[in-house]
Amino acid sequence: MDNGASSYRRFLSGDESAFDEIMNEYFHSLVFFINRYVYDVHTAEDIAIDVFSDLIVHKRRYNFKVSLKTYLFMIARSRALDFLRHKKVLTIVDICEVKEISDDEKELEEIIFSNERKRTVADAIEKLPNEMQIAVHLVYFEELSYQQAATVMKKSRKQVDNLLYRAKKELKNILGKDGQELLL
Amino acid sequence: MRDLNECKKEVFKRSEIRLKKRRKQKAVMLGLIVPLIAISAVSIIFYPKLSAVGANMNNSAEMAQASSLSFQELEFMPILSTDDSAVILIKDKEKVEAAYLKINSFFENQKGVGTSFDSPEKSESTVESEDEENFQEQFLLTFLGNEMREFLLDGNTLTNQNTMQTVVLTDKQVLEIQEFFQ
Repeated sequence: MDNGASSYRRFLSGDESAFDEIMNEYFHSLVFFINRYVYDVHTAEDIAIDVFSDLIVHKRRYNFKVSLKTYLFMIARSRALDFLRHKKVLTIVDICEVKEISDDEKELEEIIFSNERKRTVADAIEKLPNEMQIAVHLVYFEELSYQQAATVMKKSRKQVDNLLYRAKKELKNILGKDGQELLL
Repeated sequence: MRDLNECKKEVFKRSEIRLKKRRKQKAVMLGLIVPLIAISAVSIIFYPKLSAVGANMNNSAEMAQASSLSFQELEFMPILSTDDSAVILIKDKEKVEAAYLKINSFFENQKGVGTSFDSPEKSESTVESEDEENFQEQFLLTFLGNEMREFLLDGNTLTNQNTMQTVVLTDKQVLEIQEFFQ
């Protein structure tokens, strides 16, 4: 499996349906990943649209040295951080809207996590510090290798290793005895 | 949450807008760069010619000034010599003016073969260094008339004391000057 690189090659050679394949494969997981930074599904969706738009506008920027999935998550991370950096105005959100947003998040979780086991772990992950959440998300849910996760997070492999070790420890505490088997 | 197809449409719509924006920016950049390159090319081609014209104009102005000057006397004095008889005074007006034109021509042709242009600072240091070992070869040439011009001949170095311009002469050119005093 080349994590989308061959689809992107086909897209570059003019096959538009290849782009649909890439979007079908990665759009929702990208929105979910970005949501870990921005905590707003609509904003995350908006950023994910920009990430895919980047693929079309800067066709030659992706050099196939990393997998397309890693590349997409790298752009997503940097765009999410840009968003947070430039976010200056605090918006007051209506309580009805909050309900709507949380419904959206649940819908997204249902799309991403097809089984109950993963969903339980995902709920526990929410309680972890942000960096750990992202590392766990990339390795356990997106099934990226430690090295790929390190590339996305712009950290060394060792740092990702440490983050995951500590995250596992925390999760064991959060999930308790019953939840421990979920991590296996 | 939006439908995936809706998001796809949005992706293509945004890409189209961004691509249009990029094309526009490229066109603006090209619109600026092309005239800039053209201006630089024109200035590179024509600037040396213009500066040559300027230099010629300066030279002809100097020539005109030189020809308007008239000198009656030329004093040739070895520096540091205590012997008064060593001073040569030429009163032949034609010979004096010929000597002045000859000396002036060395400065005008300073870019020509056998001569070079040195900064006054360098020529001063040359005078100092050669002072000790070669002081006999230092001469002061004074042209007297409606104005006064002084030249210092130090070995092969000729300095216009009024403008502090210096040229290094060939041995042949030094001989040409010395011939006026023989």
